[in-house]
Amino acid sequence: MPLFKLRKEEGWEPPLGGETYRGRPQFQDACIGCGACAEVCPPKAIQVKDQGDERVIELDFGKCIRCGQCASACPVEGIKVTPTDGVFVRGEERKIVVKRKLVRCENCGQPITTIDHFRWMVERLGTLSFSNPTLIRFATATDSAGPFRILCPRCRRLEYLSDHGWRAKY
Amino acid sequence: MPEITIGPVHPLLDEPVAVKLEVEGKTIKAAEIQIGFIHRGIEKLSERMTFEQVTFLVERICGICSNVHPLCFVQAVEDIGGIEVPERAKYIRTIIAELERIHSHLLWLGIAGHILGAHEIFLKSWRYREPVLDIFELVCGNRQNYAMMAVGGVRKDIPSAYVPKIIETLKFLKEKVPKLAEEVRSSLGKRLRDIGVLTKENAISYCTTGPTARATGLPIDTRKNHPYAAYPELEFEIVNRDEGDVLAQTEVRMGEIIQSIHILEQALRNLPPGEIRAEFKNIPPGEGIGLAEAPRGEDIHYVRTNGTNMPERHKIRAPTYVNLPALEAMLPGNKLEDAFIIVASIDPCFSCTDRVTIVNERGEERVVSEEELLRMSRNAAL
Repeated sequence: MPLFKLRKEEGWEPPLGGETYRGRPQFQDACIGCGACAEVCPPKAIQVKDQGDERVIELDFGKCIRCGQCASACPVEGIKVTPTDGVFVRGEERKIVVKRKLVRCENCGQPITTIDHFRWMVERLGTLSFSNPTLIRFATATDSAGPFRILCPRCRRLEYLSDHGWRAKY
Repeated sequence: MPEITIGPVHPLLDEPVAVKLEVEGKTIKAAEIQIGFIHRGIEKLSERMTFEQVTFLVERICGICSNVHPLCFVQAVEDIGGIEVPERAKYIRTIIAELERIHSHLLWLGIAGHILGAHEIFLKSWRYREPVLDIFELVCGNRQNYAMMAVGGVRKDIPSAYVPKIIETLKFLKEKVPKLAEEVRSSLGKRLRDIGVLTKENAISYCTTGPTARATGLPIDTRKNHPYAAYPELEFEIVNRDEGDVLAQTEVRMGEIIQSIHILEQALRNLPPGEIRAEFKNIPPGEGIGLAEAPRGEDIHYVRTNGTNMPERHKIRAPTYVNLPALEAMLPGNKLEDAFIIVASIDPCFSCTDRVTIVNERGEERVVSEEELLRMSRNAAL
């Protein structure tokens, strides 16, 4: 048993602050992948990358200044400030990643947002979500596509302009 | 005359500064201060960040006064937007600012003791500083970089459960700090008396602020002259000394700790209920100035906006920027061994100060005559 536990193999654990200590932020399961945390992050430690049909949100502890802006901007409790801290980070420990399924425009293929974000919007809007053809897809319980297409705001507007919304809707 | 250069990298200095001293024997004849070694381009960086983000950027200008820069900045933005800050937020701002003053002055005293070889004072003052930092961790979440200021108010409330703990710490400080001040006076009084004297005339002509000016008999304090936050409603005195030497500066700082404790007791007793943050929509185009009394002196932030959510121009004038040139008047005539404590006596913060570095690529020196300067100024106006 070594006197000082300096390495992980020897049983080193990251130091814990008090209850109110502003330490490392951690992603929670409730994260909807909207990217609000990345928008407000002062040192841009949180990055949103849309890869294939996945949205990858990456938090770099090397850049993080532990201000807690991400947690206060989060619309759900998707990221929380924990009392855990460790200033020196390296290798795999340096970044934590959260992945959410991405929805792309069926017309142009541009990423719109995540499925969870759409569902959260539908929850908040209630019956109002039936006013948007894209949201109807997420408002209904069925998995079938139905007559509605998923379109990015740009494509939706263009299609509305070209044929009074016929193709946009169906 | 032989010249001795201290710094820019020196084991006794926490931050890079070069002090060039012209000496005759052991007596300093002239002094020249060089700064600009820790310029980080914060003003330019803040032009690409939103108002919310700049608050955290300016917090990292200085590790010791990490509340006063965000406070100044948010006050400047509120000045432009005409945002009315809730009463409770004003009181919380005052509480954080005064706690910061206590910990900064105790830290300064510790460093002064360390420089002079009085390690007992160093250990004691840092021991008394520790409970203050514990309050910061409890209330704000961190010992430094409190992240409390936000445009329109404060980010976190002080729950009533924490108030007894803060008052307990204040009682501890109220008992210990006067004893420490007495100890400083008895053990270091002789060492500090009549060194680094700054006359009242020099203090005015060098535009000094903060304890440096107050030690020469100038009763200037931003908290009284340009009241902000909850200071107009709180009762306190401006601590003044007439001597202008390093001992007077030390006594001013110790007196300010007692005043800060007095302010904190009033603020905690009268902490009004209510909202902690005002809502606002857009910041209109315009100019605003934020003033605050940092532990070192008066801090000024100037912000110009153009209707977007980012500042168009952000100018920071930290207190050390005006206090530092006064060293050229304070150093001559003193012994070389006193040079360090005189430099440290203004509580310099070079990270705060270094804003603009003028780099002449060709290494040319040019003297601009009065006529030329006038011509330049008149042409610029056209």
